[in-house]
Amino acid sequence: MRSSRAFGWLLLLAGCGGGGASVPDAAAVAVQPWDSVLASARGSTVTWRMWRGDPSINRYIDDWVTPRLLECCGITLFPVEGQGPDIVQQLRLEAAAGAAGGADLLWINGETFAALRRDSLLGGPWADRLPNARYLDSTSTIVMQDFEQPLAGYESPWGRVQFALIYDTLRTPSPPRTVAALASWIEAHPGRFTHDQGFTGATFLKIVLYSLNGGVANFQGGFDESRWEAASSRLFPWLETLTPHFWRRGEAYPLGVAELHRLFANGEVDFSMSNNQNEVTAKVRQGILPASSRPLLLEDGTIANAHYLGIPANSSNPAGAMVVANFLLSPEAQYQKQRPEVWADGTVLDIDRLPAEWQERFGSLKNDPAALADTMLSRLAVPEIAPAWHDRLVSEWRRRIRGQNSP
Amino acid sequence: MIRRNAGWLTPVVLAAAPLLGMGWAVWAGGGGADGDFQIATLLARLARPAPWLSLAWSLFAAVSATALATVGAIVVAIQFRGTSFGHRAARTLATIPLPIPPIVVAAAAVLVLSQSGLLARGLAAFGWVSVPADFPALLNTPEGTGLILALAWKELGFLSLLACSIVAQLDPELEATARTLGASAKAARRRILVPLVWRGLMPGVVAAFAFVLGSWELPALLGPSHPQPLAVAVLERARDADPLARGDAWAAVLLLFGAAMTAVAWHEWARCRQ
Repeated sequence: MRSSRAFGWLLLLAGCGGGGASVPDAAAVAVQPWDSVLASARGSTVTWRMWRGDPSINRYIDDWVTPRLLECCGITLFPVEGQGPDIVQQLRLEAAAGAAGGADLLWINGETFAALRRDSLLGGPWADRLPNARYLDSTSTIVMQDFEQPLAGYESPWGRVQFALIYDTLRTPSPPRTVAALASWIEAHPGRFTHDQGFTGATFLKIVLYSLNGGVANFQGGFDESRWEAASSRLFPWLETLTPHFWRRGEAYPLGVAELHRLFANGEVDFSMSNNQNEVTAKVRQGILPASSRPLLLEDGTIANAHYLGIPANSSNPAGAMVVANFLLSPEAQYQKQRPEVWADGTVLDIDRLPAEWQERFGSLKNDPAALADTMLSRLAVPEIAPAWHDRLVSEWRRRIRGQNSP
Repeated sequence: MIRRNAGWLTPVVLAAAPLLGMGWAVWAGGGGADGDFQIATLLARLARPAPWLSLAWSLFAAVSATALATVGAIVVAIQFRGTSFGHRAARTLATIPLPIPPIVVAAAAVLVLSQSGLLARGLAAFGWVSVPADFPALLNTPEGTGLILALAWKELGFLSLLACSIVAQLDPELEATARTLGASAKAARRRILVPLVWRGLMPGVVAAFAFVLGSWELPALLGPSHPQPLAVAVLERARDADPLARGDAWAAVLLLFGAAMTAVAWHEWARCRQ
């Protein structure tokens, strides 16, 4: 009796330990023939940790991607909330506990990618082995480098966007088109401009940082303290001069870009901004922004970057995650994602490499009156810089501009 | 024997959770979660003025909102204690905010109180302000007017429910006796009903205060960027890409804990005096 009870406890402990058969990691799966990967993935569930804050994106994932994945590949997609630091902390905790992963696929870029790579929390390399990777715009440094970091097969590009200010042609028929002109405009229109406290606002500050310091070239090649000191000595006086003319005299800033869109749509400020130059067309179609809203690229150059998919090192289904990433890279999925009425997220594919049918369909997307010409986008695109610049800029902005109040 | 001496168990169990929480906050705030606990690290984090400024502002907002809600709940419970349709409707209306999620309260506050909101547009339509933007800023301001009003409205539901049930259990003879002895209706309410309701409502007031002090949804959306409400600062630091920032968040949590525990201790002290 006693021995059978002890055996029961052992079984319980074994069950709690989450044992089970060992799963090959993403690098091991990636060297298998693609048919084997497809066969392994069929019938499985892929848990995808991603930002779930935009109804348009959620609809694309839930209503378009999920049923097609089930139909074509027998994969059940299970998107769950999680982004940036949340993902890093979750994976750090799982790694410390030696636990199996709670996610198989991650939507990441920039400092999140850097932190995950630094702590060896990503599986790979695998991304170069995807069949649809042959369509990638592999000559673009914006797509093939994530904040100056080589992808090295640990991330598969998913979307490409470029920062744009958003203005209303009826309210502001002659908007400023350079950082210097914007400064004059802000001084002449007190209370009508602000930026958010999130990633988009930080991107705007980086654009100003580039502009006031001779361009992006001065910041490439990794973070450097002396270059930061010189650059910040120009950026923060610029901000300190202008913030008294910001919305709420710079005493308050919208929490995120959604709040900034609301202020713009309600007429409380005259500019909004987005990391996606196409977002304005999508938001106009959804009735969130006024019909006369248009994107505006500053002549100083605006930051373009890409976002990616990664597979955690402790994923329990790397084969399924790779099949999902490959599907999301297909011309069909990329085209659907770029449609203004769906998400309006830019493609990472080189259109010239696609079959003629898909080249035509992508070409038809340029007919929207609010869409910016490809030539203008590429002429004014400037790349991201190492994540350490971003982190330092955000912490210094909080300290020096928002107030010395970050506990 | 065991059953007779088990009276000490209940307070120990009740105290265990907050004590464990405070212990964890001390350990993590001192760098324990980063593998190097030192009390000097915790003291250095607490020596900075920023968390204290955030705490002071959060206390101001929580005390103001709780005071407003308490006054509102007592007024509703006493003024509308009858059984007529109007009185029952008033009591029901006061409890409406109770089940409404904070995020919806924030959206409603923006819809009504912002400079492009219904109030601003209504006043502009009647010519009281020339354009909606001339309506005074109530949201995201250091004064916290809009945030305090929204928090008070959210608390009103909970406190009204408590206050109404307290009034319903009061002996009506108490007020009648006071009137017989010559007290006016106003004096009877002020000297008899209000103290009795306040005494019964006090635990609820402390609970509402502690809840508001630690809530972050409304302060994040309606509060100022500077001073940053302490609960919002905790959230921001806990989600920072820099893992060391989590220690800052735990040090700030310790301040929130301290403030809430002080309120509970004050309540116990006041109750003992009574």
